[in-house]
Parts: sequence; structure tokens; C-alpha cells
Amino acid sequence: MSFVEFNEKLVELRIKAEDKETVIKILSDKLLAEGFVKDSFFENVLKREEVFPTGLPTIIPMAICHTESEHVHSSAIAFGTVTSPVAFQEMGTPERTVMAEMVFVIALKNPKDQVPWLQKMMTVFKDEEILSTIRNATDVSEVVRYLNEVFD
Amino acid sequence: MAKKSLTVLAVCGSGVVSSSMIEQKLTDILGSVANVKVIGLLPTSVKTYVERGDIDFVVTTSPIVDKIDVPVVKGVALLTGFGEDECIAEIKQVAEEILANK
Repeated sequence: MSFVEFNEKLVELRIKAEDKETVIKILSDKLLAEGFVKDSFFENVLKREEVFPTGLPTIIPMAICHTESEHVHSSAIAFGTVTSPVAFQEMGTPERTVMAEMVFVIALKNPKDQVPWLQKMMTVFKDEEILSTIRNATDVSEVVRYLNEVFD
Repeated sequence: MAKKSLTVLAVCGSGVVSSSMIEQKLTDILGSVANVKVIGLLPTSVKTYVERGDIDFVVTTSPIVDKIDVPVVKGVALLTGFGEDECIAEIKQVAEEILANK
């Protein structure tokens, strides 16, 4: 079922960052280095975050940054955790701030094809055990294996 | 009696990502009372779509600036799980009122 596999090269744990730009940049650069996205991706994720923020006040707060598929070569997902929570604005209520403890940067080429995967993601967001496992992860290969299992 | 139909707009900033996430949820919530058709859309396209007619209500994860004539339910709670029961109750209530008048 998993159309978008997690990949060790697209994960960075315990990022030291003061702001969301830094986290998004680190994760976008990984997607760029692996050839999944275009040069324009990072800038457009940020731009979109200003207009349609993606902070979610989930059990462990997170952000699910993304942008239009024109900035994407092929679908992939990058994931990062931070050493201290980073401020994002809340999806649907931009005047509220979410202190995100983990960030997904999602690059989708044909989003309609990923609908079941996106729906699976929604159930994962509500699972406290899964969220705390990935938030507390210290080993990249372990967390990638775990994420691919829970999304399978 | 045949089930009545509901057409719901699922709106999010990309028109795809969180609207796809809530699409299945809407079918789960309303599938027993109606044939549900969900259309994923960008906030800026909502007004045009609603004015064209046949849209029963809107569930959105993005603020909609335009004034529109159908009920709008905020759907972020469906993603986070917080306030989800209240959100589901609101969706059911909105749907029941619409179905009662069809």
C-alpha cells in the first residue's frame, strides 16, 4: 500500500533549529540532493506555508509541509525531529501557533494517486504510541524501518 | 427507499493533501445515510463551485475568505483527533438538515 517509502537519506533526527525555515531547508535539501524535487521546491514550500500553514496540534504537535507538484520530480517524503519545538502556524487557524516536535516535508508528483497513503497518514497522526516512538527515535535506520512498517 | 445523495467539497490549501485525508472520513461518517460524493478543492475555487450549484456543504482545513451560501464545517479536527467527536457530530447534523429538505 505504501506508495511513498521512507528512506534513510531523507530523515534527519534531532535537528537543532530556531525556526521552521531551518527545518524545512534541511529536509528540502535532502529531497533536492536525492533528485526528488526541483530547485524551486524549498522556496515554494515556505511560500505556501505562509499562506496555508500546515502546523497540526496533534497529540505530539507536527507540521506536514508541502507544495504544488510542479516543483516535484517524483514523490517522496522527508522526516525530521527537532531538539526543541519549532513554531509553525496552525492549519486552518493561522493566528494560532503550533510548537512542532516533528516535521514531514511531503513531495507529491501525482497527489491523486497517493490518496490511500494520505488517508493512512491521518490514522497515524492520531496514534500516540506511533507518534512518541518516532519523536523519541535516535537511530535513523530504525525509525525508517518503523515508519515503513506503520505506513504499510 | 433509495439513499439520497450528498455532494461535499473537501477544501485544503493544496486541494489534495488534507482534502484527500478527510475524503475517506466523510464517506465513513455519512455513508450509512447518503451516497456521498466528495470533491477536493482549493479555497479560491470554492465560490465558483458553490455558485454552479449542487454542492450541499463544505468541509475545510483552510479559512475560506469568500462568502458562500452553503454550510462550512472546519475539518482540521478530523486530522488531529482533537475535537474530532464534536466535528463529526457537526458534520452529521449539517448533513441531516440538508437531507431532511431534499
